[in-house]
Amino acid sequence: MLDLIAGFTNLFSDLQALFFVFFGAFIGIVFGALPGLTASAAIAMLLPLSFHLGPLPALAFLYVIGKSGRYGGSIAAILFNTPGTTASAATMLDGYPMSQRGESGKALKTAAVASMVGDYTGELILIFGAVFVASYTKTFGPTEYFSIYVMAFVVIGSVVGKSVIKGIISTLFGAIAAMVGLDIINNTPRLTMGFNELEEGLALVPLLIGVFVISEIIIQAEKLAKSHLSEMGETEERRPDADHLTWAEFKRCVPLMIRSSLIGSFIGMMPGLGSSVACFVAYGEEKRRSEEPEKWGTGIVEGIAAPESANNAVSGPSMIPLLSLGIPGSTIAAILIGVFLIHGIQVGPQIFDNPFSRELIYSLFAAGLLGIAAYGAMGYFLGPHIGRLIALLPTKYLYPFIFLTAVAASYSTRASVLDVAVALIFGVIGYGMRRTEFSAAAFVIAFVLAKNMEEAFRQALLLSDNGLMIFVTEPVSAAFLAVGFSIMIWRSISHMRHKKRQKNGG
Amino acid sequence: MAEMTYRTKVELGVTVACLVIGGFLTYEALQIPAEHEELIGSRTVPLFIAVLIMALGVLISVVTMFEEKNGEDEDEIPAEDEYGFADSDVIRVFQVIGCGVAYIAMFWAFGYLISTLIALFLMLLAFGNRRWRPLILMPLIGTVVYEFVFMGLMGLYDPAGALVDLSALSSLISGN
Repeated sequence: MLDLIAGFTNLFSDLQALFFVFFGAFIGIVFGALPGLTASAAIAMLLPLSFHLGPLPALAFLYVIGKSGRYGGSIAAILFNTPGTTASAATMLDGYPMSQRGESGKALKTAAVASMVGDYTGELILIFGAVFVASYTKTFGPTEYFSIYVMAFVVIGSVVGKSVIKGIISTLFGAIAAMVGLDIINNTPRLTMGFNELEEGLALVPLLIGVFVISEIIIQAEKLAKSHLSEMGETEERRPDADHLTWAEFKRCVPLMIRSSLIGSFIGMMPGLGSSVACFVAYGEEKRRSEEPEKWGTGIVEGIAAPESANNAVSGPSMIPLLSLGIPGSTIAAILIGVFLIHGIQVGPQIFDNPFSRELIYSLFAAGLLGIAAYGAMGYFLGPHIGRLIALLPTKYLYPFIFLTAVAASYSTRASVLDVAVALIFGVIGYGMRRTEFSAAAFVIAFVLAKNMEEAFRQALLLSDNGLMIFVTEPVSAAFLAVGFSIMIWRSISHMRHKKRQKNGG
Repeated sequence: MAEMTYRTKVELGVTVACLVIGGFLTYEALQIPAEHEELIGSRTVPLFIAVLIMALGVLISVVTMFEEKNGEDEDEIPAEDEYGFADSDVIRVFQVIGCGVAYIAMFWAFGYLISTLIALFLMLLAFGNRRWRPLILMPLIGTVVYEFVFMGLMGLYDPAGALVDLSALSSLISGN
């Protein structure tokens, strides 16, 4: 608790960090509310800007964008019947019908309150959980770490998409992209195809921009003739009396928000299972528990509160694997690893031992708590206005500027035009992945982790008298491998059962 | 053999793509010098991953064909919006990527300022803008803003073009 108070003191004594907390909250809402663009896309484009900031403003900025972006997605879901992010897909089911009845204000306020409840629950679990887990993982060596990496790859690959095989292939593509460049142990050039420029390896920013931003721009260019952002779901006659979330409605939603927040937090702790899973699990569970399940989907506040609490509750706990093991549980956590490294901070359980990094982490927690309040207040009071402003933005003007920002951000990473070319290539790859159900999230997380995994693998083998058997004879290592492969087998079996049920019309 | 479903055709294409990419990566991995003194060297992990990509790529088609044989994926396509390339607009894809390629070529030839101006103009065209006023004003204003933010405020390296040197104008805008 004292650490957290010190974190708040540190945050409030850094005006730049404070500014970027509020700026991040605003940017996240806007990007989240733009259909097609996600918090990850915003972070990818703004990552180069963070290189010019100190560690706390940079991390706080990107961390808060990740949080507010999830809430921003609900604006598009409620007003445009298009989820701004996949995390708000379930919010659409009740949010859009409310908009059609002229209750968009109430729906957006419910989303803001529920997102705050979920995010605060997740953040508190992160603050106390990360330190607790880190105290157990400090003694791990390369053998255990290799198994943890393999487990993370297999789990993320298995749970992240519809197909286990494609999920695993996505992680393999990410891993092999990370192998481009000089070998970490003996500096041998690898997979450079003869280009000396590739010896430095592929940078994270152009790769992120390619798979998240350029691919989306291509999709938007394709959709241009079919859809239009300004098709709002609101009726002509808005009902100002129905714009407010009443105390009775709020009270009705409290138990449901707490349960959904806990569901979201639990899902967030598992690498790969993100907000999009949490929102549907919480929605399904609360509908099942409801005394009037037939009302769900017709436009009720409970149908917004459940998924919004759950999807925002994922944010904090998804950082637990990052801070306790150095393994990102989500795309945003994967990007934050890069920011930590740029500022010379090694992510993992030792992060809480070093006084500087400990203070930084608690200041980041404080920034997260403040950021939740910031986006909650902005969303509650300004959500409908932000939505209406976005509806006025024509795609045909917006996306050319996003494209230019994306290429400029790619160039700015290393002042290299090669990085722009890399972003374009990964844009096409990302487009192909989206069209064929491969996972961009698994690809990015694997890209970030692969070098560490290879290093741990080779170090462990140097320590081993027993070759590869070291990974199965060490009990902790064997346990992690067993967990990873068990989840993969379980997912494959449940996928086959699902197909069988479909076939039998169940 | 009965006619293949659309999903099976796409998945076969995915398998071919995995084999081609995996094959290329295997070839590249084999070019990495191997250390004879080490069991696990620089090429081990890339080679293993490349081969695994090919193996899993084949597995995708095997599973899909098995499912098709058992009639398990008959009704899937209508439910999935963005799956496959049936509704892809190849021209749009090429237009966007073409703008990027033009940006890179012009960056080399004319520098950041002109490449931004022309790429923004081309992107506006690619997104269906045909009114001349936004087509002229937006790239002009956008270019000045980008030059000021990225080169001026963020202090990025702004090389002179190989064919035309507009460094003086760039410096005037960025203030560097």
